Amino acid sequence: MAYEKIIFQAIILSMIFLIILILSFLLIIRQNRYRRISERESYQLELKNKELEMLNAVVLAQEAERSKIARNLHDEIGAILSMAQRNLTSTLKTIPKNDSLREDISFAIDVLDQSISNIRSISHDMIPHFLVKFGLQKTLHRLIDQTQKTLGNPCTFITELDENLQIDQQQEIHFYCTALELINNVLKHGHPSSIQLFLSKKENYIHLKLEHDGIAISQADFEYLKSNTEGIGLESITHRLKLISGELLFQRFAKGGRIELAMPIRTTNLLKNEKIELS
Amino acid sequence: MTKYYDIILQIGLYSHQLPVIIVAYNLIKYRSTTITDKLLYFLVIYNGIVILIEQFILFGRIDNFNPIFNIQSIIDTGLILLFLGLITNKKTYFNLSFFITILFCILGILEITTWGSISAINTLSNSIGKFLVAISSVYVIYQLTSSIITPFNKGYIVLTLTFLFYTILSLIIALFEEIIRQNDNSFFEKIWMLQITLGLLFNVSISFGIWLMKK
Repeated sequence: MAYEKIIFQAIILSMIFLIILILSFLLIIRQNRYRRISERESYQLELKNKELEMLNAVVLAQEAERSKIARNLHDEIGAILSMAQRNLTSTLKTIPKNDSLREDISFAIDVLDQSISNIRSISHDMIPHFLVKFGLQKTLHRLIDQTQKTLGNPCTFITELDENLQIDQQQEIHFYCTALELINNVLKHGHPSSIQLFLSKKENYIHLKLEHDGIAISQADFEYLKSNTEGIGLESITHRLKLISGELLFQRFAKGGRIELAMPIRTTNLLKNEKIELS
Repeated sequence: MTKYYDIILQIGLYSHQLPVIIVAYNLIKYRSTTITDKLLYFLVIYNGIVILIEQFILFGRIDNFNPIFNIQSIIDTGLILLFLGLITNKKTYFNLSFFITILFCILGILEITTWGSISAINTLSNSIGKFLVAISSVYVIYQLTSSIITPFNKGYIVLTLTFLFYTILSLIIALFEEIIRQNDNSFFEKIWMLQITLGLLFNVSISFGIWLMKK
């Protein structure tokens, strides 16, 4: 019948129309949601960049302050002490050999010598002059040599990095300071008899592998320590890692352990390209 | 045409048991159920039981105009409105849904007892019920997807979308239901095949939603 056909057609057409309407509604909701998600993501990225920028500014200020203190220690206190040492040495020459004062002055000269040496060491630790002058590879090599002397056992440093590889100076300092902190921690808490350091480049990452035969910690231990202790060293490592977008991996073996530090290579500083002044 | 109609009718009737199976599976696997789950499970189980009774006990004893349909549609609409009110997690919206459900039930009962009949198709309450579910579904979908921080339950989205599609599409048939049911010929079969197919898709989609809801 004609009216039945009309009703049937009306039902089908209405259904098609309504399906299109619902789908349009869903599409609008979906688009709106995606737009808001992408807006939120870009906002978060911006926030993260700002946070990094602030962190970088804090670290830079700290580095500048350390540099100033190191320079003052080295140039002023160190110079004064050297002068005092020289004067005492000259005085010593004028004192007769059998005078009892001679022994006291010799002792004072020794103490001054030790103090000068300590001040030099402290100022060098505060700002890695050697790193700024000679680069990462030579500095790490020097560090391993010093560690070898401390431990009294052979320690190795193997590098596969190209000597001409250019790394942003700030990034290099952060990487070195993190490595230094890690080695110090291993020596302090792990009591190893020897350590091995491997430096390589994997894709666009600088990769440092530190192996030792002392008491090691696992990744879970590191995460626990990071969130449950207030150590300056760990805080410094965490901050520096954030700045260089670095990654740290701890592995514990039956004897000893391995720490891997990786950092993406930046040839120029994206945040602030400031150079550390050498004293 | 009648042959196809019978086949689709049988598949359509059995499809009501699919969500019941999923509900049983969920009840066995996930012991803890919320009030929202309980409401949905009740809706599914009671519909499954009613269909079983219609299919095996009342088949051949009742005609196209029977009181079961009217009562069932009022209960279904009320339960769906309450379920949609619950899943938004908004007390105000739930209270509004509850209030609307009460009003709708009063309207349905009034239609049955006054201008309508318990044995006739009550077009007004039936259509209004579907319209209310559709509106509520649109609002719930918007609410569930509005937060980009809190992840939404995908099962709830599937269930709400199912309610939206089913009610909107079956609303058109519901408007002409009185005329359709009077015609015991190929026209009735054609439209009714459409309705059964919608029901079949509804049951499959509801089953998927219930499964996804607890996954």
